[in-house]
Amino acid sequence: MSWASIGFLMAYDWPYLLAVALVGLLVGWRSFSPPKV
Amino acid sequence: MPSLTHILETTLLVLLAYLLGCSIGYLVHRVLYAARGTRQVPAPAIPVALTPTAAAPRARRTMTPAARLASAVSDDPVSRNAPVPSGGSAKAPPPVSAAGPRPSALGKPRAGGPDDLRQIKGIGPKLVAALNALGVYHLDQVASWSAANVDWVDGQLALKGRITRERWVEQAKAIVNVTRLSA
Repeated sequence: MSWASIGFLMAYDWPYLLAVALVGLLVGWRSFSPPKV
Repeated sequence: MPSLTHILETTLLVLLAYLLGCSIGYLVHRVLYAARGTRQVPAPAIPVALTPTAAAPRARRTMTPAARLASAVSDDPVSRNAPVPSGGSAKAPPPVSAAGPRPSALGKPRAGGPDDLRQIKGIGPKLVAALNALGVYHLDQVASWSAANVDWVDGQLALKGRITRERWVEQAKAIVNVTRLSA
């Protein structure tokens, strides 16, 4: 994996990556539960 | 046809984006929760009407949870529970004051033993013990709390608005309803 290929992928696939990142954001958000005292 | 390298690179990037999103989401939620939980409210800055008036319930409803907490801490429970003289011009006390800020307490659990208060998300073993010390053993007790009761318990346990934030009363009502339906 070279920087050029990463740049290529980012340039063309960024909407998909963004969608996946948003899904991850939601999963991460919901995985936090307040500490029980 | 895409090469194997291209597929691998794309998969790795997608995985990376997912993990990055997970980490950011978790951290942001944690930081926001901590920021809300540690917010300090200067009690003297908030005007509080100590004598029950007709406008008091409305003002209480429009107050923010933080202001309600401050008012619960600074309110004098004796004056709030003082009986209204039976003179002709005395108005009936508002419902909140009439019920009193302290929720109904039990000396000991009812027959059948106490409910598991940890069913309410946000309550752990220490809070169960603290609630028991206040005479709260059952979920239906929590479900019946009024806003004033919530303020009072919140002030007693120094929970900084957690009861409202974590919706203990709503959770308790839901659990009680489900238990009733399944019984």
